[in-house]
Amino acid sequence: MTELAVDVRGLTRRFGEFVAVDHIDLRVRRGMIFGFLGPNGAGKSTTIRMLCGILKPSGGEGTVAGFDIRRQTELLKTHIGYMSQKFSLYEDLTVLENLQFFAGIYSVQGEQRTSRIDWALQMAGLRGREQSRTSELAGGWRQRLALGCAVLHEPPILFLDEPTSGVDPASRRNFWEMIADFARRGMTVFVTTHYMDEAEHCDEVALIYNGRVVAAGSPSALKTRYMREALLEVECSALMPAYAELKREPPVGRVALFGKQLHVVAADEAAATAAIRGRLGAQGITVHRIERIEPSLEDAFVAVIEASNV
Amino acid sequence: MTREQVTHHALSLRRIRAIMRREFTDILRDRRSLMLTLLYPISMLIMYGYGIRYDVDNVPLTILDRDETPESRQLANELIHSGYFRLVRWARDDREVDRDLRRDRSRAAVIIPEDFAESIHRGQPAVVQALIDGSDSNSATIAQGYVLAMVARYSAALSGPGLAAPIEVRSRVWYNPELKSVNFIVPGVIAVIMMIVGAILTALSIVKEKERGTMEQILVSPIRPTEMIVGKLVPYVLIALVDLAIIMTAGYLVFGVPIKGSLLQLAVLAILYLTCSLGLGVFVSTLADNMQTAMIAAVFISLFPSILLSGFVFPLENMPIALRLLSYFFPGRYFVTAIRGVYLKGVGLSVLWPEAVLLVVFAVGIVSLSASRFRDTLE
Repeated sequence: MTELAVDVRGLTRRFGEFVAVDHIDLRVRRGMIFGFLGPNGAGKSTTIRMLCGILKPSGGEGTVAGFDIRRQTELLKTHIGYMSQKFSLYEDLTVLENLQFFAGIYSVQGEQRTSRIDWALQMAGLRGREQSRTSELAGGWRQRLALGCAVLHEPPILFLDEPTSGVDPASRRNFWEMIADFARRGMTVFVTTHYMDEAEHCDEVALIYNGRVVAAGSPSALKTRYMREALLEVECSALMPAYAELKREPPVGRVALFGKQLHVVAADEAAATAAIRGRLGAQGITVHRIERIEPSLEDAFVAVIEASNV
Repeated sequence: MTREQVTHHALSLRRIRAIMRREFTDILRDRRSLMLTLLYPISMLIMYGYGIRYDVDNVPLTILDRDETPESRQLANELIHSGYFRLVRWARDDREVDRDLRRDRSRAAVIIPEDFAESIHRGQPAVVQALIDGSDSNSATIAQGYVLAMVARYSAALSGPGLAAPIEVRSRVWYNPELKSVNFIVPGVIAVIMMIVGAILTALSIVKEKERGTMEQILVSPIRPTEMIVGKLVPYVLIALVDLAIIMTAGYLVFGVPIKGSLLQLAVLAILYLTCSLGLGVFVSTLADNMQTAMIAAVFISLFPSILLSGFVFPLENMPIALRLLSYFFPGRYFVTAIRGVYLKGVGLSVLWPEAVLLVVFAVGIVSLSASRFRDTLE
């Protein structure tokens, strides 16, 4: 296999008139956790389906795990693992039967079969629950079992489509630890998510929006590249009136609500701080705190998407 | 690399076995649907064949006595007090008889002619007319039998032993002259069950995988469409064959319907028809994205034609021309004709070859159509 686990150029998929994926280039190095981010309907799943060889591209070409995504789909499929947000397990089967089924369809045999199933049970924390019906498992356990099934055949590349949707925060954290562990052992992980905080776990990310890749790079590079302006966090007594006041003309900067705080993006930190204090004070709103903070990826992506919408 | 290239073009038995095992486990675990597939043929046999028999104790009867002599009264009383009939009324003319039968007020009518007593006294055969509502074929057969028996009894009492019976019953069955009995039901139930198991259950099982997302999971695996279909269908073939055995055994033990023809030819016909229905099941699965739609589509495409357009319940000859033409486009009619021939008449493929050939044509056509559609929809 080449150094690139995923290498595609001009990847395009049309459904009738609609262009779901529009000339995408992706290069993912081996052993990397690659985050493929974007809002729902941006083209994430369509892209992943083309990379997995189950959807024919309308245009473009490339390789996954060294195999041509158009012509070598059968070989390609033996070299990838895939888990979707549905954690597609057979609910009427037990934990063990699901693992045995996946061993069967990926031709994992003999001693390897025993040891891999054992490994998966251990990894998912399901040892002792081999005979439980899959339908009885809670979200986090199902997710880990689905993951175990997807990597039973030790694929060099693992595709994860929204792997953490519908899973509790503790399980999500646990899940990302396992993913990091896989990557350390040399597995390439290609993961889509719309949780921007999760993107921080990735070595590299690409943001897809309306079928196009609008930004790509490491999370820290993206933050500095797209967020040259200062990001101020404002804490004050009356949130909504403060939000309304800061949005009024003349603008202090781009204002967004973030939980119980306001985020203000401004070119000049000092001038903006003064303006915020002055205008909120005039409205009788007490400002508890104004602080420049490190932008999150989400802030960066809001900036990218707003820029690309212009 | 070389090993991969070798396996590249061959179907993998191991993978087929994995799919098959999973499907079996799934079926065996879902007790309700398992019971359904095994009990359904029996309950259908009972519904169509057996239940109706309890119904014939009090056949509503209209009598038109044109003779109005003591002799004719006596015959009528014989019928009324036999316990098998319930007198609806004494009709005054043909129109009243007609109206009773038409409106379902009575299921049988007996018309005694004007010269009844006279004929008896002259020693000539007297003709009594019996009209039977044949729309419910089982009770019609039985009602007809009762009328004949009652009249014969009266007749024998009149003439004394050794003499030729002077009364002749000319019975005519309205609406359904074929009088299909349980004999005809047994092969028909086979046709219906083959469709239910072959088309409906397989369609549901494939669509269930689409609905749950497991289909996608299988598509990204190295399993090929053919392996998946073969693995999924084999368990249903076995269930269908078990059902076939159940129907034939129950047909023989409970209803006394033996197989007159060759068991092998029967099996060949059943497997041909089953192939059609499995193909239809796969076809339906490509049309539907959820189990409800699949169910409805399967019932319309496979089950209804096999019940209504096969000659199982309604004789094809009596159908409006449009429906009769339509029936030629479904394999049901050929199968029902053929299997009745083998089952009841004991004729073989030397007679039934046109039906067998058409079934082969249907099987090949449906399977190749649905296979190519199945591959396309996997995209």
